[in-house]
Amino acid sequence: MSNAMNPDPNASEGLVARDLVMTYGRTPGQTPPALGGVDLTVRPGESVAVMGPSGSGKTTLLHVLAGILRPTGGQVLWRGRDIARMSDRERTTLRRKDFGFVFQQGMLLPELPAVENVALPLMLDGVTRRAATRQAMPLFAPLGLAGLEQRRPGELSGGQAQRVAVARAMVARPGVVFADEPTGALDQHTSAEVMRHLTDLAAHTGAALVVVTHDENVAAWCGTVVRVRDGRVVERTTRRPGEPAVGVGAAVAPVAAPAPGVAR
Amino acid sequence: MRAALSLSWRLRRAGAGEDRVPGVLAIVSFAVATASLLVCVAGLTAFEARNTTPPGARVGGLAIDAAAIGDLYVTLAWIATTCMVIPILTLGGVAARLAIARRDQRLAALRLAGGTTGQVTLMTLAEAAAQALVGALVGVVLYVAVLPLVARLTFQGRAFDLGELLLPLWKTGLVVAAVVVVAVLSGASSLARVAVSPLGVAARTSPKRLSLLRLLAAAAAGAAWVLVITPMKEPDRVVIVLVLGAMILALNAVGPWIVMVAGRLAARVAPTATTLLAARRIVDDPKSTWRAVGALGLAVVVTGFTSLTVVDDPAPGLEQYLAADLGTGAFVTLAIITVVGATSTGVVQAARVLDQRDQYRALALAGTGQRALHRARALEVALPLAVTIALSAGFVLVLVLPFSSHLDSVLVVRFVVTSVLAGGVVLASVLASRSLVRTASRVA
Repeated sequence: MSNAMNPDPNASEGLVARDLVMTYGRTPGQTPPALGGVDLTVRPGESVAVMGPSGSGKTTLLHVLAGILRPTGGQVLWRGRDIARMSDRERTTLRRKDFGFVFQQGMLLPELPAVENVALPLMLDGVTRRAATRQAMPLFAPLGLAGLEQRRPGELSGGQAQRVAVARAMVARPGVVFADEPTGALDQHTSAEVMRHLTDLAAHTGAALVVVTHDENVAAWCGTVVRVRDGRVVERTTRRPGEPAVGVGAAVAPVAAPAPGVAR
Repeated sequence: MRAALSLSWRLRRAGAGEDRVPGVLAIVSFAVATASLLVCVAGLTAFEARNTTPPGARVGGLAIDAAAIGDLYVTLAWIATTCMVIPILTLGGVAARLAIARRDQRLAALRLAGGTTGQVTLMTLAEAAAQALVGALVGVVLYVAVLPLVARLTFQGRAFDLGELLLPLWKTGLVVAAVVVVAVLSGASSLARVAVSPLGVAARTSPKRLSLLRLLAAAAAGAAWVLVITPMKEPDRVVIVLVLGAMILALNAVGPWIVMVAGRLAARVAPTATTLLAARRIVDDPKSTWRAVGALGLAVVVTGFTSLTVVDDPAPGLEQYLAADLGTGAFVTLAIITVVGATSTGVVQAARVLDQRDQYRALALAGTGQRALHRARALEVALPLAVTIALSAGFVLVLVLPFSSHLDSVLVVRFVVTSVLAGGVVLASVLASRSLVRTASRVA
């Protein structure tokens, strides 16, 4: 266990948060800040679970890191560029090109078959339909979804739909995948399946993974666990692949192996 | 029963903010439907009243010497009303479905909480009826407000008197009652799936292919026109209205099938994300897509046939006004149907955004620009609209042109431009829900 909360100045290829402050409302000082000076580094290929009680600021942290919210103070550097200083349009483009997202309910478009849901981010970025489909199709078999490409979200189980959402998040080969309670609506067995696929795929593509969760079993799939309380990082635990997580029950699976050539 | 009604009232009062938007949209739809229906009935009543003027009487300096022509006006007014009534009632149905559909989850929750099927049904229908009544009363006000405008229209060489167009109270009440009944009936049919099971909220699965029987129904109605009306030298007005009504219903049966086929083709070849989304949404619910554009297609056909008509050597008297009046009547019909179609489209689009607000937000979070979201919605309406208008206008021109030796090119241009304009107005109604998209896709 370590308490290395300072950002790594050499992590210019990753995601670096420096002294992040986020206050909601127009009159700072009247409400306690949702984030009160957070430093965090997510290196390429690293998987980080952000844990904390309700209202601790973990979802706000994810939204600020992903460029969804602009912080009141501090910096979020992605590959050396400060996201906080980007325009709305630049941040929208960044989220489309460099980041992937997995939400609690999957949020697949109900009208589109699974394969089109997965190909959609590429098509929205200007990739031709044929090329986007060609890139999306190979993701189905490794995720245990072979044969379900033409099914619509309403015809998939919760776990299958969430794996389609994982494929959608990964299809554009993002630098970071943000997952907000990705298994919150699933049972424990299905949850483990989804996390296995999510961490495997992230490891194979070299994408960093930031998972917000309140579930220790989900956090155990990540190499690093960051605990947040009252808008501050109070603990950061890093472990090597295969190393058992501290304080996590028997259902814990080993940390996914990193992608070849990706330093942890 | 009292418990259900009281609970319904409490839930209504508890609903706030965005939850009230569907209710407001439903009321607006009922209001537009009622006002349109009242204008139609008022016009029809006015033509019938004019036709009962005794022969030889002078109205506006004209001798009413052509009873046959007067009769023709009434028949045409009935035809126009038949064309308008079905889309107007469809709009009432759209409003009722909106009122019910947006309450699916709440009603399913009520069933899970122990509400009986009867209670849930009663609560829902009471709510739909209440919304329809409020909307219909607003519609009456709207109708009175637009009467001065309608009165400026000139038929048979003179404008309407306000008195001609002001319906007696009992007729107005009848129209209001009709709108409420349509709302309750549509609501009851939409409610079945919620009442069947406590878990009645439908999963979004692959859309069913529409049956080819729809094509047969349309063919049968077309055959009825040819076999029943054409051989009749002086067809009875009631027969014309009945067969025309059947044809419109048949068209409404085949329309969704055409839209579905067009949507499937578009989905197969869609090169971009926005076109693909639009096409998939059309295939997903071809019936509601058709509800918005179908009436306009029919209106374009009616407008085409009537506005392109040239009366050769008109006799003095009413006949000299016939060609111009046919044009005016056709364009009034088109205008009313355009307003009704635009309202349907606007309401359906707004309801879809509200239903899919989570998906809109997810798309925005994942970096989809608002421009792409707006474009997909516009295409969703524009594709079927373009197909419908092009088919309808093409159908008219193909049928009329070869038989018109001295067709007025100005009339043709006017017809084409008006049809495109009507399509533009319906398309513009999508803009009304842009703010809902902005709200739904707000990421911060």
